[in-house]
Amino acid sequence: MKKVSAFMKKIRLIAGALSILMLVGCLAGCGSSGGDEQVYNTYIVADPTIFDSALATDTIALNMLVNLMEPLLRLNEREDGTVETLEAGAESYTVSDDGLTWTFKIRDNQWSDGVPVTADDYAYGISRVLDPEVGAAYSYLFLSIKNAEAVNYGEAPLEELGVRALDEKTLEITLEGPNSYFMDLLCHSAMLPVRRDIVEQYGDAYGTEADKMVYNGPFRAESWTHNSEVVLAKNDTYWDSGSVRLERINYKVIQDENAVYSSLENGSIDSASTMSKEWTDQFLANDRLVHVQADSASTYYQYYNQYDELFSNVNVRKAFTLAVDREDLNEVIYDGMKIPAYSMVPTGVYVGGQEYAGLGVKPIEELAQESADPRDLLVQGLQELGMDPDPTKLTVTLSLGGTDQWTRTLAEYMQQTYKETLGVNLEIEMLDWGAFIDNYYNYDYQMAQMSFGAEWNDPLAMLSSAESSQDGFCIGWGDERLDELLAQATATTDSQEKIRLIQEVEEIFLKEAACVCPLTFSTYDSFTYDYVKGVQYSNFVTTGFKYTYIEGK
Amino acid sequence: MAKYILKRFAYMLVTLFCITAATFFLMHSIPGDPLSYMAKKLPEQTRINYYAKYGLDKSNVEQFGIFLKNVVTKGDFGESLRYPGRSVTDTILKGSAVSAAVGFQALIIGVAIGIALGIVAAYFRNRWPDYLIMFLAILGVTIPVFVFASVMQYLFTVKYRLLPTTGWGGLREMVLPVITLALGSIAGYARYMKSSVLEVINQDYILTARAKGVSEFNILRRHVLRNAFIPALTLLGPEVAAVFTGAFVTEKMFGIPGLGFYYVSSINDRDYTMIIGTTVFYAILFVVIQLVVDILYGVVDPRITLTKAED
Repeated sequence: MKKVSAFMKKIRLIAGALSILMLVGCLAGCGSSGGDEQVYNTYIVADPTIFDSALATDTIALNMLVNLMEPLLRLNEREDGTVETLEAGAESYTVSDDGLTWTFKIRDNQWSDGVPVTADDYAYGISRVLDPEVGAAYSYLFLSIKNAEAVNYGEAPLEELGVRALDEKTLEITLEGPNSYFMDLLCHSAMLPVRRDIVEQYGDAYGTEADKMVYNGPFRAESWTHNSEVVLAKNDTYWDSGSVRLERINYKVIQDENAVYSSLENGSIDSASTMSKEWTDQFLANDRLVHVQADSASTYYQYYNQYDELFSNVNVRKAFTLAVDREDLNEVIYDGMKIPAYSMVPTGVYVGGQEYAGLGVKPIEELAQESADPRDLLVQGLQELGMDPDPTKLTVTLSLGGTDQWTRTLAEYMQQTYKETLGVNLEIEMLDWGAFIDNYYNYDYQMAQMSFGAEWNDPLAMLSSAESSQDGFCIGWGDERLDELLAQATATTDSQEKIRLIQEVEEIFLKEAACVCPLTFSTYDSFTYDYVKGVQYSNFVTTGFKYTYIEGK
Repeated sequence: MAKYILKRFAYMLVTLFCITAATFFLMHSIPGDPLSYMAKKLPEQTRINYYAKYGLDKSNVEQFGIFLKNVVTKGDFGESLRYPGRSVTDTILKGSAVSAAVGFQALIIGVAIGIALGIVAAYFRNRWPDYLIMFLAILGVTIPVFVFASVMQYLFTVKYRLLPTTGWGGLREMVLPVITLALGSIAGYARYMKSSVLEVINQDYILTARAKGVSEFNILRRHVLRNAFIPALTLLGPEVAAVFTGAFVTEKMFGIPGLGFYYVSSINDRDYTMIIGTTVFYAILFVVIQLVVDILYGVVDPRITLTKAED
């Protein structure tokens, strides 16, 4: 009896201690609710290359830069998921009636060292991208600016570029011709402002360390340990710092997938993205994680070298395009995690506020309905070429830019598909990325597959490369009708007209000529703890973490 | 001795020059260039401007000349192409310091435990401690690092949240990577030491020492260890070099900003300056450590004289 009571005493004691602990915990917890620590912990899969907006070409640096700098305009996601344009570094702007002259009134804002932001900072930032001596890879994006080509080719001095600061607060950009997507280009990180004196002070080292540049965005880089961690802190000199709630953002560099997911699981990071079914299923079971499937605005596609005798024939190309079952490919290779693609413009790309893919135009489906059996098409094509019409005697090489296990599985899938549907023997060439791209530029391939992402929010970002003088798809094909349509689509300001023109472009490019064969649209699965609020998922939004905050952690 | 070292030093320079030249011309001959990652057919002028900026428009021989001149006169390996504006020399020095901080701890722990286990296994040959140690050693050699690291990471950072998953800066961040890295050394040295101890204890001079009544401990300390250590020393040399160049997989998994990453990424990125910088760095370490090891042989075993051939 005595023994029992001693035991009970102990239990009571523990229970008492526990309840006190819980009370203390609750007090501490209750005290901080509403006043959560405004720190957002996230990760990046590689070190940003550089914070110099003219030289950064990796998405990690480009995405981080919208937090560090103030673009002229920002693309913001509304609550309903649609995207709006907000004046940011520019307080207001006007476009001339001919669409050629854009005038921006620069807002009163300060750099992190207290110096006022001027129109010249913007003019200088943009002109650096086109300065041949800077050697920026993104110069091609802005060739629509007046004299940009001549300046970039070293044929005209930098002063003749159509970007000028009229006074302290007025920036004027002149274009070569009307451009329906210039507004979207303005939101690209390469268009960010840069301080001339700071660049001159640090030279090549500008933007390579947190303290070797100045910031005028919602955040500034507090520290940057290369390949380990980037810490952003709220920038108190920012004009709209009242809207910024996060005090700190910690970006850990975590390259290993397993380490990313372990970190999410134990809460050392607040969000993570995955493309793997296994992890998606695991995280879906965790009810504190908010799941969003987001578009990468990128299309995985197959393309044919038309300098190759076999693929110079349109019926052969059509046969190869129609022989793939995109639903099946998505299930087998991607565990159903992507979207089967029947057009080139991926989900997540908008025109006039409408998602182009949402319009339901599917040229490849139409092609399938109108065409004979793929195998008959192939036989017909081979006969037209005067080649042996027996597909089983045909051997075709498919080039892939990867050497990992996943690429091998894909290769085997394609081999089997073409064997079954067309009877063709597929040989696989798996190369490392650099060698693969080298062959692509030099038309040294027969057929190949890769991803193509839209670099700005417009269907033309996907299709303008088809223009015959560029042949940006490296397929050895061009069509004057298509060039004309692309020029019209670039110039028109009427979005309905533009949609019609884009559809015509896809009709020729995908259906009539079967130049490229879209396979899947890329998506990724994002998981974020429910205490992180105000996260935006649209691929092209440029608000960064300006409106993100922590509540109820 | 001085003459020997001087001569070896001259050989080292020749070796380094050959490695540098071979790497330089080989890397420029792989298809692709630093703009490949854009995955886009860029206008010709973009490429021309880019090449001109980094001097890639010059002939390979001319580029090699400029490179050698900068290295010899300024110790400057140039600017990274993937990470514009960052000095390759700086990146290597900072990265290798981080790699070495983790690597040396792992190596010291690994060698100490490995040698001890090897000796125990040899002395208890064909008995249970031997079987147990050799079983663990074989596991240690055969389990891939990423499997072991994943298990450790899951156990100590997810299941029991005792340690951080990734990161760099504090002691706690170092625990798991050091254990992961040490595992291989422990397993390797245990097996290596066992076989060389076994060889030594069967030698006649051990029998003689025993006959003269030397205690087992002194036999172990004065005769067995010293002689058995020579093969291990050969193994140790390259491992010390590897400590500075980092361990790619372990560093990647635990988010350690070491040098290992650049050995792989620079080749994928066609970051020419980084490729040549990291390669030359490894080559220098390797030849220097080889020389040190050769000198150390003489210290461990006075019968080995370096200048014998000349004398």
